[in-house]
Amino acid sequence: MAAAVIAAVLSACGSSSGSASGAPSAAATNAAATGVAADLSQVTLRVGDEYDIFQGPLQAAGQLANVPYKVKWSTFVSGPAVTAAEVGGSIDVGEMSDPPPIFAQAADAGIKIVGAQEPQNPATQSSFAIVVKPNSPVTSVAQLKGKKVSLLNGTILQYIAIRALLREGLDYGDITPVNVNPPSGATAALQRGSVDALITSRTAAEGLVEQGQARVLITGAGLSRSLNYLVASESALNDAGKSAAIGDFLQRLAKAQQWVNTHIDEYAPVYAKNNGVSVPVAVKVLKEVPIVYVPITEPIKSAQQSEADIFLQQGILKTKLDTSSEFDTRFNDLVAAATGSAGPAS
Amino acid sequence: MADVVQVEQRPDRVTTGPVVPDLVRPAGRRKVRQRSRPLSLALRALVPLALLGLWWLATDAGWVRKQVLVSPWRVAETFDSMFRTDDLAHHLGVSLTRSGIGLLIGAAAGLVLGAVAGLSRLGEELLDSSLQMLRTVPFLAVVPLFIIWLGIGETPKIVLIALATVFPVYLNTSSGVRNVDRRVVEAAQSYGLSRLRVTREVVLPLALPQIFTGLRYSMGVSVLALIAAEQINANAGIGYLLNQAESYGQINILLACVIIYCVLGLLGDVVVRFLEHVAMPWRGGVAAR
Amino acid sequence: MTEALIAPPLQLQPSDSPPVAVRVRDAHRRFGRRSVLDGLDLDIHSGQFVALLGASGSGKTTVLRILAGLDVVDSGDVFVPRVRTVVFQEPRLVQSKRVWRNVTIGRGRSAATRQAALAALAEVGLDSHADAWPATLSGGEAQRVALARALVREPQLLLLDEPFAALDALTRLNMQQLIANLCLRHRPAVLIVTHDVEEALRLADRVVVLRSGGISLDVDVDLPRPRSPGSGAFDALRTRLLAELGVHDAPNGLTHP
Repeated sequence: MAAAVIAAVLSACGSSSGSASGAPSAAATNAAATGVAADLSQVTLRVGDEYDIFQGPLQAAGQLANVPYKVKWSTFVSGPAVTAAEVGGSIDVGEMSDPPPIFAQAADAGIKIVGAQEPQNPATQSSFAIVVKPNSPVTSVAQLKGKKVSLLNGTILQYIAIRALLREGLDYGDITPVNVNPPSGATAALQRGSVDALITSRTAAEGLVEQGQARVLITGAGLSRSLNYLVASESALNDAGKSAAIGDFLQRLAKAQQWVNTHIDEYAPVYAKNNGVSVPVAVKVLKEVPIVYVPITEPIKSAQQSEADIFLQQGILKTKLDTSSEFDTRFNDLVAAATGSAGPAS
Repeated sequence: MADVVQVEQRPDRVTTGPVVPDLVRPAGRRKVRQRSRPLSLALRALVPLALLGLWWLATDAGWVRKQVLVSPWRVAETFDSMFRTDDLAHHLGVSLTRSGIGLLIGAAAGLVLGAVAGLSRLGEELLDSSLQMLRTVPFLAVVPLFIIWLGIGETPKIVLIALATVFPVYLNTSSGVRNVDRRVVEAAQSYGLSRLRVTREVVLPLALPQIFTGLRYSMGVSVLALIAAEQINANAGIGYLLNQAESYGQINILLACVIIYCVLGLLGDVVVRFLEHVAMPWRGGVAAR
Repeated sequence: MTEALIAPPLQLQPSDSPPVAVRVRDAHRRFGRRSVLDGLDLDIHSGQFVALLGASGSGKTTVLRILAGLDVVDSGDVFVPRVRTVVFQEPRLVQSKRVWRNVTIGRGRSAATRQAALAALAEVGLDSHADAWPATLSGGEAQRVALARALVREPQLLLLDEPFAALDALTRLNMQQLIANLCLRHRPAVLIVTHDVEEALRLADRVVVLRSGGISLDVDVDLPRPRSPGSGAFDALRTRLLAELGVHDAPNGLTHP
């Protein structure tokens, strides 16, 4: 990460990605609204992906053919790294979950959430789960009181832990959080019995269940919306060409995700390979947690706000934030048109 | 003294006659005089201070956006708040204790193994290949293995640091021992010293300069390894602070931690120089000709 | 054309002749294909100062190393006294020990040992440097310390391997004088390996020339001490030795092979 910062500084001094940040140019917003822009063949859209969340579906659905602009991919393994790359100007858009934009706003980084994906029904479907060992005496979240839970500070895993405990009338301080990086280390800690419960992705959880190494205690349904965001740098959004390209890219993402939901058997092997699980597990997760791209509407915005408020309450954030400024809704109509839906009502 | 030939002083030591054409003044150079100590220290501080000035200028004059590089004042403020509210001293203490213990174990192991490999051919044949493998093991990647074998307490952290610090000490010790002047060793043996005494009284002291080089490098590694080690269930330490700052995208804390590492590097060098001075009093003498 | 003086056999030793300190019989030593010593026979009596001359590669250093115990013979018999010490071409002092500790290396640190060291250093004129570090000594001083180191043990055999070759000419002359005096006082058997014919003649009672793996010339030097070039007998011997080594001395002092 320190290296990313240094690289970002070096590239920022010689950055050639569009104009300096300021008010979005009229051409850019206009281009976004109509979805049509000047010749995009000179535009290169630099995309930062995590775990093939974007590239996997796009590739499989054939949405990377006939793209009117060039796409340059980079790989990251954490949201903060994506933020740093955007701040430094080495990528235009990137993928991250809900907490990183909050911390980016706190650090006054110039990035905006322009697109969002979440399960079809966030109240009952979640991309995350809390697991315990199969023979663990723990059968409910309330019984986690006084136990050791593996998570990662500043991530959605920590947020789910906090919400789960609050829902049971407990406090975050009632558990002992254990930070272990990387994720495989956290799994090792559970197997060894060094921790009592593990918060992880639903896919990883189902993989462990299949191998008989874990049992799902609860999923994150109702605790978080399992959002994944497409986040763009302000300077990219102020560039007419790039802004149009981003809009087009978002539409392709939305259509690719629709294709995945109707071609689960075809996509499952790709998903299984990217996430290191078996094909049956991939099929199960894809069926039980279908993901869709949605326009950014009130339910999403208020979920983001309550997340920031809870982080503030827990002392993880130091200042109160108004998270509505994290969003840029210029592409909402494009997404609605691509998916045929007006967005979640709740 | 009949054999002594009378030698008369030449009266015309300096002549006034014609000279060889094209005489030139030889282009000699004055030798650089020994620098005064204050000047030397000032020169050492010059480049770091210049970099600091450049940093201040870049942020003050707005050459770089403030999200990209925070100003030196902000970092100084961060240090202040870290010392007071976040108890930086405690974090430093925890980290330095961990890396100190790991370094002690790793350096001791490296010293012994290096001496064995340097002194005996059999030792080198048995040990060297395994230790060469240790050099390129990516410790960050084996953290999960450590957790499986050693849990998530202090043990895996210290073991990780110890393993990372073994190799530089091993390499320099074995090399230093092997490069000791064989002729001196032979002379000492010819004067009746047993193998053990030769090793202890001649070989190891003469290998010390290179052993200290290995120690210098290991000190740096021990502090760097904290970043990997403190990913395993830490709630205090410099590596922990760095990882946290990374998660929250707090560039100012990140920069402050990087500066702490720089300072630790300098301090480590000072410590090693002192140790060298104490352990090798025989160096630095100039032969009077 | 070789002239070899055969050493008298052990049984016929006259009662007033000093005992044999070194006995080498039929020594063979080869390095790879090269035969360096080919049936060498040599006797050195106690108190005798022998100079071993020879061209480079003649095996003279090998002989010294075999007598010192730093090398072995492939075949043949070698007998040497128990207490023997070596002075090498380089001082070979241990930099991490002070001068007096180098002199008494291998012994303890008792007051008696220090006394012995100081006495030995006084003999070579360096007792004031007893606590100095070897790195502060000049080449000549360091070699003198090596000399003290060799003599403090009261050796029965003193081996000198081109001990002054690395020193400047003036220091060399002083050291030769020093060696001569010390050996007169302590009377060990001495073997000095040297290139320098004049040095050999200045110091030795007997000069042996090594060639083709064996002794090609073995003469006593019966000149009164102190010896210096310029006297007829000295120069005659010198010319003869140089000739044996393959160097022909012209009248004007310039040598040509």
